[in-house]
Amino acid sequence: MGLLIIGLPFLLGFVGCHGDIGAVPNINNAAEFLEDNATYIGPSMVSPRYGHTATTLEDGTVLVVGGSDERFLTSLDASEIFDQGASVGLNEPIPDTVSGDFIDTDVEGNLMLLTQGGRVFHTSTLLPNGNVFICGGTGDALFAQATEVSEIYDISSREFAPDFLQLNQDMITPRFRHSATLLPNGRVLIAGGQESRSETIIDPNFAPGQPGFQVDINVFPSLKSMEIFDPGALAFIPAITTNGDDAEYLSARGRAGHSMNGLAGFDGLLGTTDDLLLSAGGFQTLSTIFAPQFKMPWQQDTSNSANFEYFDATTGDNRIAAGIVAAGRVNEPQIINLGIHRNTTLEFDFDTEDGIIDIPATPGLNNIVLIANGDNDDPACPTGSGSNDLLVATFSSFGPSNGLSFSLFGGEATLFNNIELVVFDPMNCASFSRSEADLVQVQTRRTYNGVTIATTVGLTAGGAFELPTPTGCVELMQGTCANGIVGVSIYDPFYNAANDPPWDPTGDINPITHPTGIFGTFINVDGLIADDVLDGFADGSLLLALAQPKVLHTLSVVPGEDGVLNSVDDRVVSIGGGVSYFPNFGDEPATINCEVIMLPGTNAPDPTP
Amino acid sequence: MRQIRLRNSNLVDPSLHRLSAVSPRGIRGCEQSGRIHSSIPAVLALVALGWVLAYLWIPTRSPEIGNPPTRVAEQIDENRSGPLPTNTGEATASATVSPLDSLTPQMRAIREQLDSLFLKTQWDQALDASTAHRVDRARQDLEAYLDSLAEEHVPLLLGLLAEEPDFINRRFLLRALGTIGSDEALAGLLDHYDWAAGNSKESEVKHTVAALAAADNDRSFQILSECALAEDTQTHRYRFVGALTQHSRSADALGIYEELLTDNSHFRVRQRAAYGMKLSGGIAQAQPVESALVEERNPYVRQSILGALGGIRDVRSVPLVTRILQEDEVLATRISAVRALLRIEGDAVVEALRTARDDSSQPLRVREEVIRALDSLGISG
Repeated sequence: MGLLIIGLPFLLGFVGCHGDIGAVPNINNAAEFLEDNATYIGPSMVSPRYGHTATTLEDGTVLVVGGSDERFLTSLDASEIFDQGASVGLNEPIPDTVSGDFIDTDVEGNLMLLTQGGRVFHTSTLLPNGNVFICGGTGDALFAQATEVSEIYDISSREFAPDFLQLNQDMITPRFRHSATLLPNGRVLIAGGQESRSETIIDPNFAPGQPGFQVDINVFPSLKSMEIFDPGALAFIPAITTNGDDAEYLSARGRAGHSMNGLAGFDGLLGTTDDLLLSAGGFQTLSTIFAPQFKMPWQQDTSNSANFEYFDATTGDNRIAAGIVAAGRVNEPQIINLGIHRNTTLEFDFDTEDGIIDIPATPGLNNIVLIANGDNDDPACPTGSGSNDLLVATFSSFGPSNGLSFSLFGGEATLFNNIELVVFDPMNCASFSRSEADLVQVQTRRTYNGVTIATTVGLTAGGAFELPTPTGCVELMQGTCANGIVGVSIYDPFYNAANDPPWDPTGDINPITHPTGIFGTFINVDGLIADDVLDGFADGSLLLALAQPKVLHTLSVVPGEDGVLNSVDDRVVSIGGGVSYFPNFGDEPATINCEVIMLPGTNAPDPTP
Repeated sequence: MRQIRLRNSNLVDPSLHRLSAVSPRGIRGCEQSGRIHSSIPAVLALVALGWVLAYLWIPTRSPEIGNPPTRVAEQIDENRSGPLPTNTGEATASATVSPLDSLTPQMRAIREQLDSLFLKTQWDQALDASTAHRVDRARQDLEAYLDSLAEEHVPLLLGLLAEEPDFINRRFLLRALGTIGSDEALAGLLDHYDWAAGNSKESEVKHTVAALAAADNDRSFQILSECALAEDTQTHRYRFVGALTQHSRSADALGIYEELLTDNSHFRVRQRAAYGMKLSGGIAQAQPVESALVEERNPYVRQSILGALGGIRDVRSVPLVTRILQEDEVLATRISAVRALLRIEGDAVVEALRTARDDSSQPLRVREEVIRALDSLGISG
């Protein structure tokens, strides 16, 4: 028993905060039985942190790398593994289920340390062989250079950059705030981000030779360039189109802090060679002496990233899509592909009174994509409107990127990401999007019309809904609309709040109005079913909520009791995070515990065959 | 003052007890043998004398500078809607005796300088270029300034630590106190540990223990040793043991490591103890380490203990390690066994590795590891 259900601390005590003394190595992925539709406090990291990466490994453990515990002024080289089966007693019999803990040692008992120092704004990409590619980043949010050395984490020895996995070269362009996405051919596409440059300024107000006449400054412009990491050769290669041109973003000054995810090509399968990669969100910065010279988004730096573009891994071509999302997004926008549906007839009538079909049928092969979270980088007080974007990418003919069209839906009420509860905040903050919060896809069970099916939902939790700016938006203490969020939202792609009865977490009465799953709804789960959607406010009995407000944390899908990843009893673990963006003056910088989120229906009977 | 029971004080070098008996403040958090209790009145008297001397110390230079600038906390407070968090345990509670209340002119000047630098390292809005430059520079200046301070400044630093509301500024102070490393500084750090632990500030605990370790002197060794065994610090026992392994006197803590190899408070304690054995253990420790390995069920700890056997390099461990290489259910543990054998070296090791290489039932990843090990021994894989 290593996890603590929220609301019962007085009964159970903080038994699991450092793992129980009786558990067992997860190597078998054993996980404790937990009631569903609830959140549990789990063990503590050895190094509390935020701004880290968390990568679920093949064995169901989660690799936590880098980040900061000091407002990004420094970074951590210490890494650790979250293992649901870690806490094994000295000579206890191995229990069937265990609660887990964090491991920070390799197979020789040495601390798991990055070999090139701490990193923030880096990426971690799971490779096909089970190892993890740690790429780029920088040492801090001040003036540290972009890290040119990447390293491989070896899952078997829990070591970074062991001798046999030493890279043969560094990145062509050192960068941070980039994306690193696994391609169907097993290579990794590294795109955009920011680089470090030193520029010399001549100030005519000073005579030559006088102090101040010549000043070197550090600048961090965003990048258009792309390059590819080949895990087989342990080397980087330029990204080149079939025409011999450099593959690059088409945005005028590239993208940094964007999101990238796959679209299935006409074969209808993700992970095959005709996939396309969709980029959305992020910001661009010129970062010269006339423009921002630092590492953060700057006052509506979203102008060139409200569009989205797609990359053809086969040809190396990148194209701007015809359409823009509802708003540009910075600070960790998220893209998830909710599913692929071929030749379905999709029709939607959002306002049922008029009987008019708002979205006509679109035959073809449809990728249903959700673009969510992040904020608009507003100069006054960055927040998102709360609206997220649903994108239907439709292939109507064969061939990579041929016959591809996009239908974009934003502003619909069901796509708003309602935040029901902010800790200590009785005021109604209405609906806002979440910055610096992950959105993950989770396999789960849902019951519609009395039939239980296995399906995928989106889940997001925490985040911030106002960020500080130099021009007036001061980050405030808890108690106002300016803090980390505790609410958990589920995006159910099958449920349309505009047409359907109240969403029921028990799953007995939910009808399937849209079998293709298109046009779902963000849902908050509390004790009053009728207000789980669109109310935006807490009724005081929120069932799915984090124990602490968190921002810059991570969400990772981990196996449930069956020990098998991507099965219907999967659960989500929230790791690290701060109580607010650039944690409040004086606060403990990072949250201590991890938290495990159990979706509704996790423990329901197996789906009907 | 919180008292902590020492589980087995005779594991610590006896000379350390002498040290604590004559120290100004004693080890506040983690001691409590009878001998130390018996010296409490004397220690308290020395503490009081130390404070008095500190307050009465009059510098011969540095004229008084004007009124101190607005404290960082006050400055920030003007921009906030809520109350500032209050710091720090005992020092706050005993504000009436804060050394900040009666600073000499020179100390006031130093405090003002530190306040100024603290203020420059803060920001409560976006980190734009201008702010980043200012913060970056101020952090460097602050570090350099703190490095220039010495033992006589410890009361001031402790006073600031007790009142400083910002966690980053406190970390600068923690590092400075650890670097100075005087008895008074370390006692203050131990006080701070109490406060941080009591308020569940895990990052603060981590940095405080690191500062205690950074002192790297006899006193810090004593504190770490006793905290590694104390009941009241059990929650962070692994941090104290880990700090002990990094201490220059780590080899004097082998008795502690040996006892903690079978500690059942948390598996990470056993891992850290094994790591201490790996770094500092000798042939004499091989047997208890092997016994711990036989008893241990947690694979992560087993791997750490195998690492210890690799560090100890006793050829008599080869049969046990070889058996683990052949039989352990966990792939990573078999890799640990290969690594341990590689460090032990010798004919028996070569034979064990060759056998594993030729064993087709071994997982591919293990055989790869074996081949690499043989290669590094100059034997063709």
